[in-house]
Amino acid sequence: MSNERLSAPYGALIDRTKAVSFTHEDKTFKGFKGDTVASALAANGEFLLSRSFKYHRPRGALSMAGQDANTLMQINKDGNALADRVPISEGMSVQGQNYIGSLKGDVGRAFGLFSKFLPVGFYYKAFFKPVGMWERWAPLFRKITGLGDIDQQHEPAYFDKQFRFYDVVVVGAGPAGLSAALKAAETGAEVLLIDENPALGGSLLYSRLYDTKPDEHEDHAAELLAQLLEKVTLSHTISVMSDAVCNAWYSDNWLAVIQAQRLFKVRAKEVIMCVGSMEQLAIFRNNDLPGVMMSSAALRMLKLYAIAPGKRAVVLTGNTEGYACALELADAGVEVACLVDMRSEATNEAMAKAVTNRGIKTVFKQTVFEARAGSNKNHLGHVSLREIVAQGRCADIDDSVIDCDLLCMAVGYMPTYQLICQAGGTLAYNDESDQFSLSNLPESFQIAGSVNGHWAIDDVIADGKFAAQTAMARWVEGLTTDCAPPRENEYSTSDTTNYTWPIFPHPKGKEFVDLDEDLQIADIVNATLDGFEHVQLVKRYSTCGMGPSQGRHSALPTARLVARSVGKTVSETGVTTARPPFAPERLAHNAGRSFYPARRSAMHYRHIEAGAQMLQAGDWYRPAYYGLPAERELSINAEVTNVRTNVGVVDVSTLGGLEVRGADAAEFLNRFYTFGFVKQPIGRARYALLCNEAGVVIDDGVACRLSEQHYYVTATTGGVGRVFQQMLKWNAQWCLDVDIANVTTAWCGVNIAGPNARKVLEKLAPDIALDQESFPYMGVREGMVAGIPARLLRVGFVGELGYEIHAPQHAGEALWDALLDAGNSVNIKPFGIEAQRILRLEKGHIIIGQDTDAMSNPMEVQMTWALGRKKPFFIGARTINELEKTPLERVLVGFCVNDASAPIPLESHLVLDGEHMIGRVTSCNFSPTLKKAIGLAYVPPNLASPGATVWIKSSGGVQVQAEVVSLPFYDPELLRQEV
Amino acid sequence: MSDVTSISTFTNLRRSLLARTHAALGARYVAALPPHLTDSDTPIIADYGDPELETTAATLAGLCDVSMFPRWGCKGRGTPDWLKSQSWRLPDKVNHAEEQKDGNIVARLSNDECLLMGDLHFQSARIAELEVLYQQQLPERVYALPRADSHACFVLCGEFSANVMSKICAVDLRSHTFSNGHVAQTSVARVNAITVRQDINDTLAFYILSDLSSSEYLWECLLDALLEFNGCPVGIDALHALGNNT
Repeated sequence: MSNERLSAPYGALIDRTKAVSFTHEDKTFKGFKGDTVASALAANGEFLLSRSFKYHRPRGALSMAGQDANTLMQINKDGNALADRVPISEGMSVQGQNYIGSLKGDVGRAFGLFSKFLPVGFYYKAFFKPVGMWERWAPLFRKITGLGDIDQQHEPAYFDKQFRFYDVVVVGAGPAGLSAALKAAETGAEVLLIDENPALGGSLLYSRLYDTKPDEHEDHAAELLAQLLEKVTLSHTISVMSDAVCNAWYSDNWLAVIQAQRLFKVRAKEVIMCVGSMEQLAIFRNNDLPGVMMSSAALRMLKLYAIAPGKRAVVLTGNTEGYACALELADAGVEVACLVDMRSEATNEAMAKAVTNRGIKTVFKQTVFEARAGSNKNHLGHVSLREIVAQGRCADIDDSVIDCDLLCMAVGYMPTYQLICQAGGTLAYNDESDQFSLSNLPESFQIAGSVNGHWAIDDVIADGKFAAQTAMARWVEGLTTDCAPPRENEYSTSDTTNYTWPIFPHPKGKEFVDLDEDLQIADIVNATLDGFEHVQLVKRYSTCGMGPSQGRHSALPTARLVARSVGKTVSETGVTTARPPFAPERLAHNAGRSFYPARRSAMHYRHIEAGAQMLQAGDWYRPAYYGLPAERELSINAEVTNVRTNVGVVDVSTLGGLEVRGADAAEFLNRFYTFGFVKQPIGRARYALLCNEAGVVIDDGVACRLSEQHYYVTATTGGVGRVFQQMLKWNAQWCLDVDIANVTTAWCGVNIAGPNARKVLEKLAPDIALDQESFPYMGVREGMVAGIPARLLRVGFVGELGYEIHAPQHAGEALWDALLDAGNSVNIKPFGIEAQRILRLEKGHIIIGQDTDAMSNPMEVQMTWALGRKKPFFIGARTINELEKTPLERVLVGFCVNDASAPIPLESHLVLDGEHMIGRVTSCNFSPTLKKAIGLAYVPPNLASPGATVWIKSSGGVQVQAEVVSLPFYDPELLRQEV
Repeated sequence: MSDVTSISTFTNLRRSLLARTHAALGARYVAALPPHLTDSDTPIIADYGDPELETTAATLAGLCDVSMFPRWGCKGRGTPDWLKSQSWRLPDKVNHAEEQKDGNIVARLSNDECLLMGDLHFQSARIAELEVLYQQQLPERVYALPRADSHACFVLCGEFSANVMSKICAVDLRSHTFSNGHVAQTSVARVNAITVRQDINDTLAFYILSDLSSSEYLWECLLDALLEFNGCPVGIDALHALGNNT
């Protein structure tokens, strides 16, 4: 293919020495390094990029700035990539989107013939009747609509995040941004300058500084840009991020900036938004044909990529920008057939004269009424011009028809308001001047340049400097304020003003307001006629502004059309809300390198080595059971049996550990937990039940008195954080002489349990008397176990003779090894938390959080024995006293299933009375010891007595008969643990 | 450089929770340790088999596990006075750290809470002695904190260490905003962490202390973050090389 280019200095972004080959629709093309896909294709004469969403209309470059959905293409395996943003690379594969057959001959374009039958909101009105029809329509719609293809063999790439911190962040590196950054840097501030383009300069890279020297060919913009860039390069405090998009503003100047595969979370003391403005569409029939583009897009093609966007051009304008565009095109050798000025006269005499001097024909008070394809059905071939007889109305007949392959639109701008409005700024429209303004900016937030309504280059630069000075004055004491704000109205705003009404309905329609969604003038007007008069409702009903370009070009014409239709002004109508992200972003940018903390005990790898199947409980990894998944039940049952008949060890390092120390330690616990602790003897442990002020059971553990002023308190794995927090809160409130420390990780824990537990432990702790008399149930001792300093607790969660050994975490693995080694002769085995759950269930011990919920009080869970009745206060006491005066509504009871063939109920299965739910199961398992299913369930009090029958709706809807039994299920005389 | 040994770290009483990770990286251990460390049977990594590479990496982004070094803490209203009475110099301000003459470091985490970290040359026995003294005296309103077992401790050093931290921590830890001796008690890779800036000679360095049970997780996060800066795990010898001028 040809790859025709203008000679330098055109082509600021391309490197002509480096050719790049790529394929488009399976044909090979050549471009240059620095080309985007769209520019490289245009250089090869390929202006058709993709097909539109609904009517499969041919679409080409519109903004050449990544602001529109026309350039969405399938690039390599990425669907919906912006062809005017993505640079070409060697071997790249590019395809159009949304076509059936071939891109050029798409048979799907026939959908446009039925557009009359697809009015706005048609999907809300049709296809739903008769009932069930939508299910038939949906597959068809899904096939013919939608955008690119998803790569289902996608290999994840590495995306991550990074925080950055600056004094000043300037978004947009055009003349205002460059000036602002330089001015801020003068104070020594650390400045970050962000620009979404590969090169800094903004409009200086492609626009003509016509306001000062309109008829000269010298490139004053380039000269100015070079000066600014040199200063930026020399600055030691300015950092530059190009090819980086500031995609969101969040509170306290937290900016989400995306560059390559990283999401930067940028914090700034001051933000200066120099984000420029977005050129707007003229609305006329077939304004979406390839070859019809913004004047700025044509200039970008010329200046950035050295591409003549057409051979014969018409420029449609409503301000002086069109004159500049015509001159630039003419300079580049493009024949400008006509400059169509919708106004009655030019406002910039110098520019008008320059255009005349170049021999460019200018017509006034006319507009393009219709664009038509030429012999190439997918590209502009002619435009028809008509006289404008009233606002938005044309004469009935064409004034002329002009052959052209390029139509440039220069009808006005809209500020790039999205990030500024995210920051709380207010976008306002002046119905008299047709200009936008932004106000109500937050503190530490400035705007400058065209987004602030300044267009003349001197004003833009002055505005950038002034914004930086304003920002830095807050931080630099005695800052010299030598910059004045730009001159008000000195420069003729008519040069860049928005043309009042560049919207011209055509009897045959196809005047597109929103190119993303193929929405025409009638669609917007009909939405209001359907009763959706508010612009936000119009958006949702019509989907206008909901496409990939998020209303960048449709917001203003929609506001105008809605305003006219409902009899309001544009300023009263407003535009829809702009939410993050500003530009399309990959999910990977948000999901990439997320952090999922994982906690492992010192014995973790011993569990793995022993064949444990690990499960995650909160952040902790815990051994569920030891054995193959296929033998899960067998393994768990064997572990249970081994504890009941021999001895087992379980890692309980995840248990919470809290040191409560100080003169008031006993008093503190006495108030904090429900039991009494003041008279607790040293060397004894006591069950500690914690309620909140509403009398709800929220945690439990044991409190071990190690000395007069020192308690070591355990808490549940998941609850220790909350218990610690509550302890700190209440300690602050009670002002007791107590210190509280969370030492959960500092101590690992192993519970050795079973009839042979003492026999094993005796080998390792010769200095500790372990016999029942010396070290009774609920006793606590400190001493050495296998040479490791340890705390030993005789507790009985699993209901056997057992010792919980707490030791320094770093010694955990050595302790584990020593216990298994010492128990080798009696065939000691580790057991996991699944076995532990069964063992405790057999003993009728509840697990807080599993057998309790957010309403469970001590009476319901039959733990009134844990309430200290004689002490004056504990947290929740008052509520519990009141609750005790009212009848119980439910009780947690033990049940067993006597029918061995019945399915075992699971947690949360319902207890039923006929069809009515009267309770639920909280725990249930097959007991290897009792050889039947046992469980805990909430039931009404009238069914809580042993012997009562309840029905549980088990798996598959099978109703299982269960018998309420007294707790514990196993060893009710406590003969096993107190030996 | 240290005399190194390939001693098994799986038979000591006190074992690193990262012992297997270090073994997989080829860790070699310091052979000759002073009595206050050998008494507690503590393995300390000398290097991972490429001292030269590690020495260079330590100037860029080196990560050294010093979790097995002496560490202790205490809190309570009596803490400042008691520590001062034992000749420890305390920072005047909260969230500041001060290096002692013997290389030990005291970080003041609140008015009444201090964290003591052993010197990187593991020559000083003062922390071990202080623990013993505490048990003997049980000073009023001074409560011991077993920091050696509650927290892992990593040293992240090198000119890019602040950049590494910026990938996993939301606090601005750049050298000119987070001065030497500053302490940040914050979140690192979503786990609570105490970050102490304590440069090693002129090399930027952070001590990062976090829940010991999260040590493998945090180690992996830090390694992942430092790869782009040509960093790698380093042994204590690489840190000593940074401090050779002292």
